[in-house]
Amino acid sequence: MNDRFLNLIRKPNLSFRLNRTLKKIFLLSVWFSSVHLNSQILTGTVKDSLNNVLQNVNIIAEPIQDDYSLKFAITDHLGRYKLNLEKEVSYKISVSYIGFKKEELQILVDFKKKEYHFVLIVKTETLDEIIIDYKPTPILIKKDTITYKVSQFTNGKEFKMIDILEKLPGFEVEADGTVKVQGKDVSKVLVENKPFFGGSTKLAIENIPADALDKIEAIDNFNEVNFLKEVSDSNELIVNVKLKKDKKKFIFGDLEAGAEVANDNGFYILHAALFSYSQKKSLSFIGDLNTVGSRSFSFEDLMRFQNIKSNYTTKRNRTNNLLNVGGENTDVIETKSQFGAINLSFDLNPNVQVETYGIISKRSNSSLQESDIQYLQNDIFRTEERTFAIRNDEILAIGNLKINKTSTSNSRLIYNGQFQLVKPNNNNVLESVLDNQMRLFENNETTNNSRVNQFLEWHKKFDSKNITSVVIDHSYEDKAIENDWNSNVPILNSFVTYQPDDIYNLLQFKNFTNNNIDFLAKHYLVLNNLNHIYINIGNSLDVTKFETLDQQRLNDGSNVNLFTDEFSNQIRYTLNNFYLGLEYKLKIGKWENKFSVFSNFYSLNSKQRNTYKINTTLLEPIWNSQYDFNPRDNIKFEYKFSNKFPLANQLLEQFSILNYNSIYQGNALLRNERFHNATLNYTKSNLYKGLIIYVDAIYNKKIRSIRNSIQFIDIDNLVTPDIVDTPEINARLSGAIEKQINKFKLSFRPTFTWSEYLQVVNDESTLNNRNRQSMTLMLRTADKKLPRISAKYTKSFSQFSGLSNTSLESDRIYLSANIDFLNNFTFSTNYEMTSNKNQNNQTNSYQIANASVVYKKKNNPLSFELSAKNFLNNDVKIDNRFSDVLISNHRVFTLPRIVMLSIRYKL
Amino acid sequence: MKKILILIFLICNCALAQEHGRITYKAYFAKSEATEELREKDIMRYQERLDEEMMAKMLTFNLDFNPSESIFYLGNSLISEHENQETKEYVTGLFYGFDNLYINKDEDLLLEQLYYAFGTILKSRKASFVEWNLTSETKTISGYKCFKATYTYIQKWRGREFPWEVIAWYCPEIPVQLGPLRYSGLPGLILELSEDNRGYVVESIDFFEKAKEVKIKKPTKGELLTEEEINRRHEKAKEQLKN
Repeated sequence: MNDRFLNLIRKPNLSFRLNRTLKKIFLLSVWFSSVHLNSQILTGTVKDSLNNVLQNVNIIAEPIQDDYSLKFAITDHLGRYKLNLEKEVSYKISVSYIGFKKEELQILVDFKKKEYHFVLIVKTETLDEIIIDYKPTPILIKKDTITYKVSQFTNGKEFKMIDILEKLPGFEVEADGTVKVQGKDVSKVLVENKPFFGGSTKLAIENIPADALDKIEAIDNFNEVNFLKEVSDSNELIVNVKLKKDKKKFIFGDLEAGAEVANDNGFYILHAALFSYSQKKSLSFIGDLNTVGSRSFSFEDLMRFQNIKSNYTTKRNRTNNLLNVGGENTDVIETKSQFGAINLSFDLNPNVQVETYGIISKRSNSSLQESDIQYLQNDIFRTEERTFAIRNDEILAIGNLKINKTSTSNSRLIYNGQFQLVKPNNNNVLESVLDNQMRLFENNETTNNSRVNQFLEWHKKFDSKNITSVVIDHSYEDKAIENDWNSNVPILNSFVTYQPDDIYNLLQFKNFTNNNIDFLAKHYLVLNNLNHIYINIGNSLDVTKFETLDQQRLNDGSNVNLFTDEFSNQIRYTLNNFYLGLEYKLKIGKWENKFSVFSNFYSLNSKQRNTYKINTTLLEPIWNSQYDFNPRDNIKFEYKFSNKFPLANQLLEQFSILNYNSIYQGNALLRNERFHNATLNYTKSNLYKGLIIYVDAIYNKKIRSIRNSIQFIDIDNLVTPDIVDTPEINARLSGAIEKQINKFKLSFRPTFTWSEYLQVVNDESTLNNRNRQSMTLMLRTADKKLPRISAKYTKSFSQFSGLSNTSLESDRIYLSANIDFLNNFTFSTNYEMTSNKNQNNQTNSYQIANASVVYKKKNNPLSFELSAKNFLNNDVKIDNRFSDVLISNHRVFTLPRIVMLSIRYKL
Repeated sequence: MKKILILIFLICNCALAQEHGRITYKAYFAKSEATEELREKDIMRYQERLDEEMMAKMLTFNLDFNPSESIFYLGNSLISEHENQETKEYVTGLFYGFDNLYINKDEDLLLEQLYYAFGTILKSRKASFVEWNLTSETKTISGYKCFKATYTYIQKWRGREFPWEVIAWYCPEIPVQLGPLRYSGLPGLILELSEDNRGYVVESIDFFEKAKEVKIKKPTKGELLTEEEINRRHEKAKEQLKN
């Protein structure tokens, strides 16, 4: 009541209306009559010494005795105030007003005076702006984490973390093991705040038992903002898993064993996932043995294992040597995979965390492929039929050590070191029928590849305006490849002259060593709220030694150099890039802009028979722009101009054999490629309406590019890179719109790509165009009560025009269902149909389907699964491909139907 | 009537111009979680929390006012790209950085334009809804004597009530009866305020010349919804997420 009244009188209004005033007067009189009995009133005015009215003056009445509350009044537009005070209480009344001296008045119990007029005296100071320099001291409280309670979303039928994630709001698990949260990729999974095998998502979600999970930290329920946490060294989204308390004391995990039941091809699976977690230490083991083509980690995981490098020196991408190690592989006729991995994380002391993991994988595959090839040469059409049998054995070993040191609250030191050993061995037998002549090639390739990657990062926040990062990144790679070709006809005889022999045997030796050292010092200078400057000083050094030697081995065992040394290369290659960069970031309203200029001093030095040097200074500008309509509706744009220098192997002066029908000769005179790149990105999401829209557009224009030109003799060819000044254009437009309609989600995803470039074949240049359009329509159930069913249809077209005009079409239907029944059973199935139409309007198609029934009783450690992989027993996958010089129809043979019974036991 | 208006106008003209202006507040976490204890227990969470607390200090808010209206909103601030963008979004959201809080004293109206995942909404109530508990406790902020007032704000959410403790330190000497967020009505400007773990402290106070009047736009974008309707919509958005 008291406050209400004050609210009324403290409303001075320049344009008040009579009505309102009357109302106030009425209210005032009512109030007077009701409060008069137990209170006393002091009224008066506040004016300055010149008799000017002071309005909005705060008058505070502090009770001198305790236990009484403070009273106040505020002067109105006529400088009047009315203080309503308790009876029989003494008050100290103070009137303070900025720019005036403070006035005080003591009123004692049962004061007689009912009226007092304050006169304030001006202080001399001016009062345009008041700056408050004050640091509030926060109250310290204990940890209070916002989490997802797993038990609220599950029914106990889940085996692994993947089954839980599929039920969590906003989570999506892709077929390849990647996880998305509201459309964004989750890049790392942490368990108890520690990266799990370097953050591997597939290893985590397919191995961590569902019943061990207590909480998953991902979304902040209350504030409606995605709270997706980062790990200290990256900018990516992660998921953190909290384990149940009782799981932290014991070893937990599960064991799985499965064997084929319908046929007797000897298919089996053995899988173990064991974990031990405690406050300071965590240990995980995953072991897998199978012959059904399932893989323990995804391609993304592999990239994560592989790309151990600092996020701050991402100027150049390193080559990948593990490409064929990861991923599901059922496109084989026989496979065996052995996998073992251990992860150990512990705190050395409260400031130092150590994270280590070791992975050993051994794999053998046999595959069979057939292709019909049409060569698009200038003169006549030639066709070739190939049958390709591949035997592939591969050993991969990775050891990783990461140390994270936090010395003070404002500085961080991170070291990561990794050692990798990869030993693939390929044995191919190729049967080629060309113009009714059968040729047989056998190739054995042995590779020894070892690699060390390490980086050191230091970040320091000096104060809120100055942050410095210093990064050193080093990688060392040593690769030795040996190739051995045997054939009943001379290989590449259009280019190579042989000593006559019964069987033609070619040997190739390649030795590659590379050291790459990146250094970057970056200072972030915060000028003020709206202007930042970032200063970069960096150097990137690449030193490569590359040797190749191709020889013919004669029947008597002696080796002869081909063409007397024309098939041997030795190059020492050094590329150094010292750069200075200035970035200026500013914000105008909701519009954020960053202008960057990098001045690069490139120095390329290649030493072969001739020595070539390029020293050049190149400016590389970047413009980033972003406009936020609101946090879930924004548009981003980036433009950059950059240069890319040729790699060592592109500069080789002499020949080297690529495969049984092509040889490669580099070009020592290559210079840098120059290109413009622009990207535009728009996203909008409205969760209430169940609507998500995004559009991505990418445009790339190379104004100078390195292109391979091809010289055909018969079907043998010579590939040589050249500098081309004709613009080369690549563009891509893709988007997605997803809308919830009642209990269903409907989405549409179109993608268009377009590229144009010049291709030189047999000294004739042709303008090539490659276009691809693809559209995916997907419908799935989006209601917890309904079985999970989804249907997807993709239609794609591709066109190629150059030496010939080709257009291909493909249709793909994908259906999947997941149904719980009879309390303890779950049935899941998926079906995929692919149909490809080639340039001659011939259509071929194949279908693949899998199904499984799982019996799992709640709280019982044993569970059973009966599965049928490829139950339609499809044995071949067919598709159409084209390259710049050929069109092919490609057939890959797959594993047959596998019916398996497996048992899982939970520890 | 006309005479009265002219008279009032003249009087006001003589009075000091402290009716138009802008007050700038800095944000901070009123409850610090990044303690030594946490650091020993969970270094990751500690680092993350430290990042959040640093991020909060980079946020500035403006409170623009004229004689009858005021609006509280996020001032422009550019966050260094060294900082994590997700943390930025989280912290900005936590401190009502995506929202606009408008008060009209004459109409006793508080209009909150709130940004939710399911859309922008407007929530309307009396500006005088706060029943302050005035205490005699004082402290000095940069030479200005401030009194402490407290209040418990009840945040209703999904059928539950969360009591948020509000502590305001107001300075009677500054004749602006406003404060951060939805809080006003104290005899003096609120120099420091905390609502649960969100803290705001005044950085600067600018009084504008009479000529430079502050025009305040009442927020109009967004649906005017009741508390129940907001909860219902939120539930629906959550349901959709689950599927």
